[in-house]
Amino acid sequence: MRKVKKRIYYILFVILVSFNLSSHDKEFQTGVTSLNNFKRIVILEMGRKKPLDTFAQNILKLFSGRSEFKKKAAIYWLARVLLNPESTLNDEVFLITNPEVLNSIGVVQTGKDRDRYSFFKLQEHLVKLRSLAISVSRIKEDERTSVENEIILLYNKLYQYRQLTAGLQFAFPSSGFSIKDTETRKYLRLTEAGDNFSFIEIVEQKDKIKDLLSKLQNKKKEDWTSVEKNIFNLNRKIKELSNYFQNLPLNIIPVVRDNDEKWINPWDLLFINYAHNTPIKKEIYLISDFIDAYRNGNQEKFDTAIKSFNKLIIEQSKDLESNKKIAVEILYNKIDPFYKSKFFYGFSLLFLMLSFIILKNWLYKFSFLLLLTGLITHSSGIIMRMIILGRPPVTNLYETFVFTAWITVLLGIILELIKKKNIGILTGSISGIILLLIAGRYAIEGDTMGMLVAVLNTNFWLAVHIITIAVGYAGIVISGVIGHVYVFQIIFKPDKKDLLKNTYQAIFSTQAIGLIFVFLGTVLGGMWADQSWGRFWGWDPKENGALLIILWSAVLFHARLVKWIKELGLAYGSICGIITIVLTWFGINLLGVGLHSYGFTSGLVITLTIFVAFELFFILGTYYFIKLRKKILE
Amino acid sequence: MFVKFRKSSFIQFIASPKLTVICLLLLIVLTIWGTVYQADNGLYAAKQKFFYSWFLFIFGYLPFPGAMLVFLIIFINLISALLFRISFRFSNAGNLFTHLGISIMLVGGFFTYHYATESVLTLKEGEGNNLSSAYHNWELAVWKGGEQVRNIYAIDSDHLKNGDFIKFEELNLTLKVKEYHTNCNASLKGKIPGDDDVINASGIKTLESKIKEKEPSKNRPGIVFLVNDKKEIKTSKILLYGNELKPTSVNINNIKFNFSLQKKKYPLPFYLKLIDFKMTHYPGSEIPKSYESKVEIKTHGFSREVLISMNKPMRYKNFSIFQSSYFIARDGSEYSTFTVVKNWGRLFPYISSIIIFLGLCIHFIMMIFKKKKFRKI
Repeated sequence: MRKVKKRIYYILFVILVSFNLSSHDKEFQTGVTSLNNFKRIVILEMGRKKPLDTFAQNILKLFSGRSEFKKKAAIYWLARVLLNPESTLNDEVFLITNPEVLNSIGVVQTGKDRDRYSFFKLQEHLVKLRSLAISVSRIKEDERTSVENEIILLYNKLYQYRQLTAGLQFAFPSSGFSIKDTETRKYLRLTEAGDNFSFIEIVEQKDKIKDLLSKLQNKKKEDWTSVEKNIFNLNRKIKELSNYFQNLPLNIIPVVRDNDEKWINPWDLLFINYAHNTPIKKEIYLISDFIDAYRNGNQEKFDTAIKSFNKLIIEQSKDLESNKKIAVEILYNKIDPFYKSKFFYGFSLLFLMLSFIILKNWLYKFSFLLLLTGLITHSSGIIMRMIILGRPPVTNLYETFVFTAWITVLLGIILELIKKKNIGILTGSISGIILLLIAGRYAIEGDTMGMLVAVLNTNFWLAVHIITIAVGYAGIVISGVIGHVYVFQIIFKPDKKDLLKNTYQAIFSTQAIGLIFVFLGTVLGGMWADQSWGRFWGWDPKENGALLIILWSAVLFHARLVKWIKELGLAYGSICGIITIVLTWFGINLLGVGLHSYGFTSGLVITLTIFVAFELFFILGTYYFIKLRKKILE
Repeated sequence: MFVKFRKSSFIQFIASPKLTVICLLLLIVLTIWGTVYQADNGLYAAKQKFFYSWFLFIFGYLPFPGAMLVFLIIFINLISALLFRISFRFSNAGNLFTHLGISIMLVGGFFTYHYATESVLTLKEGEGNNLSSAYHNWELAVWKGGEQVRNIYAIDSDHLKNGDFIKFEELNLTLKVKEYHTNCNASLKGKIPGDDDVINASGIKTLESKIKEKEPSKNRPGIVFLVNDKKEIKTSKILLYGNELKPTSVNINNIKFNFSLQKKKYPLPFYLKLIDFKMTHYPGSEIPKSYESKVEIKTHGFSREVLISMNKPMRYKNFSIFQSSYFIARDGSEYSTFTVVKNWGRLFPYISSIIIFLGLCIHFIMMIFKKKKFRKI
């Protein structure tokens, strides 16, 4: 509550002190076209040092649900937000998924239901949004509706945006530091043409200000001259500002004190300089230099200033390991491996389909090659993430999808090498694409490389437990996908006994792999729980989910043993296995939060219901068809 | 004889995989149901209703087997399958191992359920204790005042009812329960004039029952009981409320007795002292990176320091002590909370899982080889 209130005053304050919010309709043009050095600037955010490039992507994804703005990488947009904030007021980046949010704050809906709006358009309604956000924040988190959640979300987005626009403002002349009185200007030796000055310029004159202030202590307020009054007010303004600008998000400068490295934002550094009468650091001037160069469109100057800035930072930071990681992360962002592997898998599937029609051998080989290339790209992504984070490949929901996708493709390739009946490529590529697409949905929620809370912060258990579980999931998923293939084969090629037997064996063995690994993973999870909480099993929803998968798989094998189900039955059973997996993966997360809590989550409920209904319909429909045909043939 | 017994339809039935399938399906239903039930009713209620019960009743009267019953049937099914159905051949090795492992796991579960205790121990920096407290079980404790060594006598209070008699033979005391509330509010005002005669150290006059909490550790019980003087001249009416700060003292037969209603205490075979609690965050964020407590453990006059942290518990015989929580008081003093688990069956799941895993691997690998052979023929 108090936080929200503080933020509101903060926003209003920023609007008052910073640049004029006049609408600039014309597109800002800068001669600076390459941000290659700019994106390498290191920033400490949420406990991790990352390149500005990643930070830009995360923030833009959070605001707009996309990682690009006007077909340009996020870093271009962030550069404008930081270096030339006025030009971004009209950028339509704030995604609003529910038009009710617009109605509630009084914005006229202009576009689609789910659309993006600019800060300029929303800012008039900030006051209304403020009061709404305050009242929503009083509601318990699990009792909020999706509209209420989005109100808070939108408020936070606007707040973050304003923080970012203010992030490097100390280097711009701003109306917040306007000194109209020529005498005062003369006293402070500020002789520029305009009335507005930058915070750096003011801090540079801190000696003069302090001098004057110390004299004022012994002087009655009525006797103060206008210069003295102005300086006194200026000092007060700086103090207020230091309150409001505390903890801005741009922690880009390391300060080493007592062997302890702390990263702080330039504003705080300047406030410290001002308060303790210490000289302004070189980094601040370099920032000021590259801002100037950017605004004047001088690419060469821009690059030189940033290069020296980055070099200085690296020299100051003791942590050499993380500097190498920054380079890897830049590469990771550039390659965007999971995005590319999706395409490889897609084309692999496409060429496989084509190979059924023409150029059978050639296209088959090409398709296999594409799948392999996809897997290599995919692997490179996983490896790079492991290097960057220094931990096993699966630590959050996003990564479970990425990793399981990888395993399914790997299993598909192995299957193809053993059986050579298209089935490996088919199932591998399909499950690869689908799982990566799902992963993509989760990437929108922000940084996918977050830090781990204390209980998860153990590489050994993370590695053994989650990886085995993921392998198990992959086995069950692949088995289910092959189950679909089997049903289609029964329908379209009922006479090819060999083919059917082959497919059946594939279902059986992948299901078995799934069972073994899910069992192992679950047991390892139990051991981890025993190690950290002292209990092996506690009937917690996550544990129950894993148990369900094991039980279902065991039911299938036993039912097959007593001949309650036959080959087709196992195929259908493996399809139900996918349903179990999906419910465990997503459904369990829904349970805790209640069904109506989050925009994305409530959408998920619908998607899940449709998926389950579709699969059940598929099972019943095809079963009915197969039985009917058998009857007719007899 | 054995063959005949083995072929009898009863044995055929209880050893049959058909029974297994039925039980597994029942377990699936219970698991789903119990998981969904948790969302509204909490983990504790779900466990009691579905997983730690023999029967549950749908709509209050339709019986449905609880997980305990299903596990028992699965266990019998497994044992009979091992004895009578699955033949002891090399080709069945994996199968046998798997089923043996699952039986051991169920036995382990049985022991853990019946003989494991879990309790909490919260320590302030610099302080120690050799007693841990239960999560949600309460006891009525009595001890004589003015003694150098405090001998505390206690009985479990959770199942007390109005009209029960409680006897402390060593103390020569008999209490008669007037009221017992599992969860109640305390009030400093008496409702009717007669209420005023209760004795309570905190000045509580009446208790009022309320609905039990979802999370049973949040329940706060209360009791009112009568104690007679030996000569039955004077009857004292005593009221106790869960976790009062002070015990209530009464003079009975000229001896001062202290009464208190407190979380059930478990004696530990060691004395644990918290030396230092440390929490670290990731730089520039509020995300906790680690919690750790430096403790001193004293046993038989011997003491040593141990570091207990997340995922690194301290083991002492069949006790395990885990870092589970912490809080920082307003005056800045730090408290660390440990979970204390006493379980001599904790190795069961480890052993059984290894056997099951090996069994599954052997079984499926052998099946693949069998198929290969079959194809060659």
